[in-house]
Amino acid sequence: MSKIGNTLINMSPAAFFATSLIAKDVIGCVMYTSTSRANKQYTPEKRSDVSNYDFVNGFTNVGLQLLAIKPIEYLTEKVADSKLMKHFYQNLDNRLKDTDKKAVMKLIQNKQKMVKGSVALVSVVVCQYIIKRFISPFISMPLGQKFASIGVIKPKLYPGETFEKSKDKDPKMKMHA
Amino acid sequence: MEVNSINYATQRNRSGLSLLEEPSEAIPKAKKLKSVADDSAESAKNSVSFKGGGKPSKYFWFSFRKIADYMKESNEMVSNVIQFFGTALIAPFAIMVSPSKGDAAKLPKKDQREKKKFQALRQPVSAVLAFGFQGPTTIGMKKLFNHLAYEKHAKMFDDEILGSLVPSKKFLQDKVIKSLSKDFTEADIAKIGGFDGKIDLNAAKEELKNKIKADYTEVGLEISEEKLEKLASNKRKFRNHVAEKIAAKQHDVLLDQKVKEMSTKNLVINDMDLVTQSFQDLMKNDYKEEFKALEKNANLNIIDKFLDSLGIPSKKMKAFKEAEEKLAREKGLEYLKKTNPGLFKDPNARVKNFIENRTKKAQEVFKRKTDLITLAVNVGVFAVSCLVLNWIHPKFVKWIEGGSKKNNEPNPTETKKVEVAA
Repeated sequence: MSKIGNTLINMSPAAFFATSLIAKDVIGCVMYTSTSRANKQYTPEKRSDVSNYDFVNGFTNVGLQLLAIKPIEYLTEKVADSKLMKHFYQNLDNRLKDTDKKAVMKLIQNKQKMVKGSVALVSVVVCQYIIKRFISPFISMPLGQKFASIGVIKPKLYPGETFEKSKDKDPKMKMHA
Repeated sequence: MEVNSINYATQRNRSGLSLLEEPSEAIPKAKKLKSVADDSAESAKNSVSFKGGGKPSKYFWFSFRKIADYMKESNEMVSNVIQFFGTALIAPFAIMVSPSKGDAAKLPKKDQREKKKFQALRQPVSAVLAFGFQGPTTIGMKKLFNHLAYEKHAKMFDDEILGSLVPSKKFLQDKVIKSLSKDFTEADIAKIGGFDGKIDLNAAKEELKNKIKADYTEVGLEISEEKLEKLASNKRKFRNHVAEKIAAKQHDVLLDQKVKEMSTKNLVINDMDLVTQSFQDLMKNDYKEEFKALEKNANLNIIDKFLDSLGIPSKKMKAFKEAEEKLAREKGLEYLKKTNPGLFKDPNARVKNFIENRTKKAQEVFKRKTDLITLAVNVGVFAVSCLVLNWIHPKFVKWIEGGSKKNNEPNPTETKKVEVAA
């Protein structure tokens, strides 16, 4: 246990951030799925729908974020080197001619601060808005429905309840009609 | 001339690295500095074509810079807000536009929409809950740890190096801000103690003005005297600025005390302590070839590397790491002696350097530990928010549907009966 603790403490900030993010998603997946599977307020069909969605969503969240690490690194590097960033330091070029070294130092430090901030902004926007909040639910909704029809996560049934898949329901109705 | 000034800047920063910078920030900073200097020389060439093209508004850049600055300083709250909007607005939209698959695809269009709506309505509820539960705990835990770290010397996180800890300037500043009212006078400042008590408020105001002005001129914006006066006379801003000045003075006093204390105790400080971990990484970057040769001699195979990544270094790996550390220290000392000879002549400077390095390391370790505990607590809070979500979501859906049914259909009871029968 202390070994795990030590490695966690000695991790680089980025690695730690990624680990905590993924740990949260995995735990969230387990918790959401288990609670929605046994929710008395839903009908059994909805229990199946929601819990399967939660199950799939956990996997897509973790998987997509892992896949996105390299592209985001590439993107942030691009941003740091872009003309957009260089625009801020136009003054720097002029001031480099000055002999006031302290001012130059300060400007270089400011430049780095700016680059760091923009990198944080880009990675948060890409990771949170595009991957986790758009692509992930967009994929996991149909996948969750597929899983529900296969019956990967079966809803918990309380006494007196029956659960038929919607697939079974339709032909029967037609036959009766 | 230009090249010289760049070299001076990089040199200065690198030699003063172990004295001035936080270890975590020092490595990328030092690594980037070279490229930064190259960049600026390059962009000096490009700047003519720059000005010619369609240039976006300077105010846009200014606001972007402000946002980025803010992001860097208070990451957690910003990411909480970003997550809130993402979950509440974007995720439901993504669910509504996603295609249907499986059995759901065979259902009539209206039912498909119903299913999606049910799932989509879950997102804003979970966003509100996550924000409501996790936001306060994150902030609360941070405050608690801040309090523990310096008030109680963090005994709950037994750390042998916390003994040589000096409170950070930021912490001292927060403390000063708490003890000052908005309309403070020089007499109030004198009461604070911990320093000589002399702060010239008029000079401080001038300084603040210059600071704000520099902020604007840096991106090529001009600021009128009126606006400058208005911004500088903001009571909160002024108090923060004065508190910063006081904190810097207090910090110096505390550091001097600590240096005296340790010098009189005749503590033996190894040269190892001068060369911190971040410095070693820097050396690895500078003497790449020598370190590569060392790795070649060690004959490491994939299994060794894999085991090391799991935190179980093999004997070979351990030997290699020791050799690497030794080399880094040698090179580091060589470098320090060349660039910062004062450090080896003046024993007090060495003690000071030692304390500062250790303080930073202790703060780093402490922060990581608190992060871990915060994560554990957040998981617990998360479990509660899961339960609450399952309780609120059906009610929320009913409330939304009830609202729409009242508008469309006169008899909500009829539809309810049908639902029960089905």
